[in-house]
Amino acid sequence: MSPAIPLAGWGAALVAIAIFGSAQYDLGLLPTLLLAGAGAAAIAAGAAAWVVERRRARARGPELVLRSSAATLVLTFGATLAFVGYAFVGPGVMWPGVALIIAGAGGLRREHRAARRLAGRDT
Amino acid sequence: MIAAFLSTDHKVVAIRAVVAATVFFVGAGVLALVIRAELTQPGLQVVSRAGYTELFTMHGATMIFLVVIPIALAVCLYLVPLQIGALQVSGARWAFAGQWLVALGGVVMWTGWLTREGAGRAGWYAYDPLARTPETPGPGMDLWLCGAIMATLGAIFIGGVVLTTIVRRRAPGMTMLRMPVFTWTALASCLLVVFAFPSLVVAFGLLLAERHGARILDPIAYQHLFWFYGHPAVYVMFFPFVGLVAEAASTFSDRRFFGYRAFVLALLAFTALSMSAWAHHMFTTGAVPNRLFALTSTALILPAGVEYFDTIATLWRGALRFTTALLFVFGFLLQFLVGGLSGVFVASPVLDYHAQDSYVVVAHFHYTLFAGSLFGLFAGLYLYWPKVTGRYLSERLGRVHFALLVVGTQLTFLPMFVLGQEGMARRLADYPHHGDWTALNVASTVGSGFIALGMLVFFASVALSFLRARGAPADAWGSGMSLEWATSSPPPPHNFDALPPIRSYAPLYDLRHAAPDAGSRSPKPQPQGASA
Repeated sequence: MSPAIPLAGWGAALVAIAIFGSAQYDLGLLPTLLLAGAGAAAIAAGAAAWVVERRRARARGPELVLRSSAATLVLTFGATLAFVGYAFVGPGVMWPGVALIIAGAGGLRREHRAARRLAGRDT
Repeated sequence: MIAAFLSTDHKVVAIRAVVAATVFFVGAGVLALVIRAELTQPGLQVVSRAGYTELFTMHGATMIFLVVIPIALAVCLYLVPLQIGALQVSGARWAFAGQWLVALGGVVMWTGWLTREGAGRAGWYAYDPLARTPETPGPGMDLWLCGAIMATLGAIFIGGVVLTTIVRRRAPGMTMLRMPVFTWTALASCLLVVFAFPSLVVAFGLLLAERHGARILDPIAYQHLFWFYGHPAVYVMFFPFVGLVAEAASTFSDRRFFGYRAFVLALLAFTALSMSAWAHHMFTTGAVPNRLFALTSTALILPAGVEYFDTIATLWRGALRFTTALLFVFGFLLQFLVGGLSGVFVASPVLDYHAQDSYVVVAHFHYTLFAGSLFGLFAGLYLYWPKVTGRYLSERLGRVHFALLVVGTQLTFLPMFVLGQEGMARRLADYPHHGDWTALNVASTVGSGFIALGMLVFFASVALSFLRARGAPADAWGSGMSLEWATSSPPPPHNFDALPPIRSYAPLYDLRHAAPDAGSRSPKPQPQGASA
């Protein structure tokens, strides 16, 4: 059984319940949209899983195991500072957060390049 | 030390998440003890009314956003790749970022205590308009919302990673219907996380905007957005622990899990229905079709019954070993029954009108989340501790821990059913001298002391286990069913050096029970092509 089946089947069940509730019990617009929207998203995820499954069957080889990522931590701290600064404290906290986001994004780019180099060497 | 903070290994990320959640658990537990101290007798003795509101808001929010959901997802993050034979997770950086977002969200939320007006105090649901600035002024509430948004985003990241890992990284031979029961419960939980949790981010984001002057939400729309997250969240805090109970039941009865396919089907039905039952929290608003939500809520008993039946049937006539983990399985099965059945009552609008905002509801959800989920978690902790650390927890202390928790749970939460039935309202710091209310509240407070004592025994047991030498073999209990028991304890960073062939949802059971004369036909481990 492909993982697409439980995902899409589950999404279809949500859509069916939304249609049933809307037709039989006057569910209302927002609740119907919430339920049917989640169902539709699950069906789309099921379709994506089906595509991934087909590609996975074709490509199997050695893989790199990621050990650590300082850049992700910098990015996360930056996003926290920027968000809390924007929503509550003010620019004094927000701008350092934005600077950390930029630094973290740069670090991520370097990590990806290094991973590509390693993968090339392995193959 | 720095490596422990920066590691993206799913096992280290999960352990970090559990450690952070434990810190918040201790904090939330202290808040609960202060709440119980205040409620021991009528009148205000320990805190002010406003302080009490902060206490129950922060206790509830911490337990849900920062403790139970993160622990449930951390367990999924740790075990799922091991159970499906994956070398690592898909999107390790997302899981890493998610774990830090939850931890930082918690810090942001608790920073509210440092502000002049105090921490968030609009309940864990932060109803609109109660949570708007005029009704709940001060930056503490803003910080609370920021923290909750961050923690929920973190949960979505981790849920997405687990889901993608299941889709993309199953080992050769690991078809969907060969995935262990726990992995299915993880999949169900992560479906809910990915497809229901975003509505909370939207709801709290809009609420934050409202607190800064925007006028977007109406109270009923807010409640729909909130409970569309809030009810599935209950199942995110439940399914993984059902999975742990199933694994423990199977391991300590040395039997394959009974009724596997029925369990999987029931779980998916359970998950779909649990997404469709949210508005039973809104029965008394008069703004939702009560009959529909009573139907979907009551229908939940069918898949729940299948899961119960399968777990009990697994234990039935099994070669039971009464380890601490199995005691917690029995504790879960008996106590969650009380929580589940009281849920059937409040799923009826007629009864819910009576129970709404009373201690019946408090008793009901503590019997599901504490007496149910927490006991399931402990069943899993005692089962998997040797796998995670290479050491065993003391069985003797485990039994003391179990006994104290069982006594504490009944003493704390059972009186609440009576109090609620007699009309005692929740979320109030004071109550009148009325009948046996004081005696029941004293019993409840004494019970919370038993729970605290039980937790101290558990923490002592954890500390003592680290004094012991590592000695747990790969199959720490000698009756493991799935792939996590095929690798060393604790597992290496790349999870597996070799995998046994996978021909069912219990490949290790297959290996153990392969016919002795099968000799050359018995499955041989397959080396993994991992490079670090």
